[in-house]
Amino acid sequence: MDFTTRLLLFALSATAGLAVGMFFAKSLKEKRDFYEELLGFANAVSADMTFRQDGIRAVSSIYANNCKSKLKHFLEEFCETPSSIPEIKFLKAGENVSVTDFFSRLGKSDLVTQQAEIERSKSIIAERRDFYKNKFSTMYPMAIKLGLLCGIALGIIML
Amino acid sequence: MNTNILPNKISETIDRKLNSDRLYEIRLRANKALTVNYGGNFYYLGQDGLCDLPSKAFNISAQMLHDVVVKAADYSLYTVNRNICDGFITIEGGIRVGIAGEYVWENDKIKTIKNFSGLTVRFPHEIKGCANALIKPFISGELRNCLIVSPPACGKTTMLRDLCRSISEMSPASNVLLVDERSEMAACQNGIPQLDIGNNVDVISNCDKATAIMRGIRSMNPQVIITDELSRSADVEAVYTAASSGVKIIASVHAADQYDLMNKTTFDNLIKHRMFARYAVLSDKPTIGTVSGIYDENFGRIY
Repeated sequence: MDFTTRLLLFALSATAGLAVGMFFAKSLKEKRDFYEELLGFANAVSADMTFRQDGIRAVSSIYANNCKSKLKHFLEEFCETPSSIPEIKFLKAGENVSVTDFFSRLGKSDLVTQQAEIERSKSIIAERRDFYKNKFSTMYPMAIKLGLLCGIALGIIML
Repeated sequence: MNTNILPNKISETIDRKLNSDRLYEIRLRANKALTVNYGGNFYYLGQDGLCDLPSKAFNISAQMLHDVVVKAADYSLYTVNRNICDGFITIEGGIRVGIAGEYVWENDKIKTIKNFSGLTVRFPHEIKGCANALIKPFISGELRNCLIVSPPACGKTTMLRDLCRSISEMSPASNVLLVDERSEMAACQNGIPQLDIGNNVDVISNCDKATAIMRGIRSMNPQVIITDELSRSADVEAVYTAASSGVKIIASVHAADQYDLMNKTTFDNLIKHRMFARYAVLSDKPTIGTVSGIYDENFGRIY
């Protein structure tokens, strides 16, 4: 194998390692962004309850238009049929339950009860958001470095 | 006919087995058989249609009642809390869902209703031309202040709606302000009337009559105000003030007949000052919407 081919293999290996590292970090980013926007949605519902009272469908529809995370698709489906809560496959089982519980309670209670439920849910959502925010900020650089190192190591081995 | 708020099996049976023109009411009670007012009579309703035995009818659970109310609120119960406290929600098409249950109080005010025990779903029926018999006595020469006197379920809201349509489309045009406190006459959704109330009509809905009348006069400058079911002193006072400022009033009141009206002390001033030039008494005999008599300001019969 000539030097150019070896160099090319080495570069590919390092790039592949980097990509693998970024892939593992991506799911953390998705969860961070999901909870960030979910908290924003809970705040939007809270604001609607104290002001215009347009309703869950209207708030969901408007908020979904501005979403960038996986919450967008979820809200669009929820807006279509509020009686059935869509599945959230990328969350862990326990997290899935708390999010579907939040949505299943939306719009089903009187004003005061609903406000109390939203505040309770907001603290849970904020806690999950902070968890993934911290995890992403520590794991992302580590995943990148680890992936790159593994790729470089593989490249060296192949050389 | 919009029956989407009902459980699917009930909604499908209604669509399959009943004529929507004859369906006036559906009554749902917790752990009881479903009943309907069909053609003016009450029947049980089961999978095979109308029946005489409760054992053959759909049984309504407490959870079903809650689900119907949530659907009626378009999955946003908090947006209709004020309506629930008033005891009813009006939905698309002018359908009114009356609610019975356990009232929750706080500081002497109704906070909400919980544990629903029963719902009454009333379907409006537009009958164009039903007020034709009133047009000439109410309007010939000039439009007068008129009061429709009616016992419950005799068609006064349907009659008022038709009057509103007729008056608003007369020539020369009159600007009509429709005060629709319970969103039954116009049944506005997102500001658009779901029922035909005519062209030159401004609607104030979901607001008490006294406030709506006083603000409506200042903001919309109507020639005519039409409103349903005067009952409180504040309503009567507002109507009196409006009439004194030159606006014509067409309204209705719950009373068995003109004699029953005269016994209602709330209306003493209006009757004493002959504010209303015409009274029309409605009856359900032989049919709903029958005009049993029209009277002048002294209750002298003219029809």
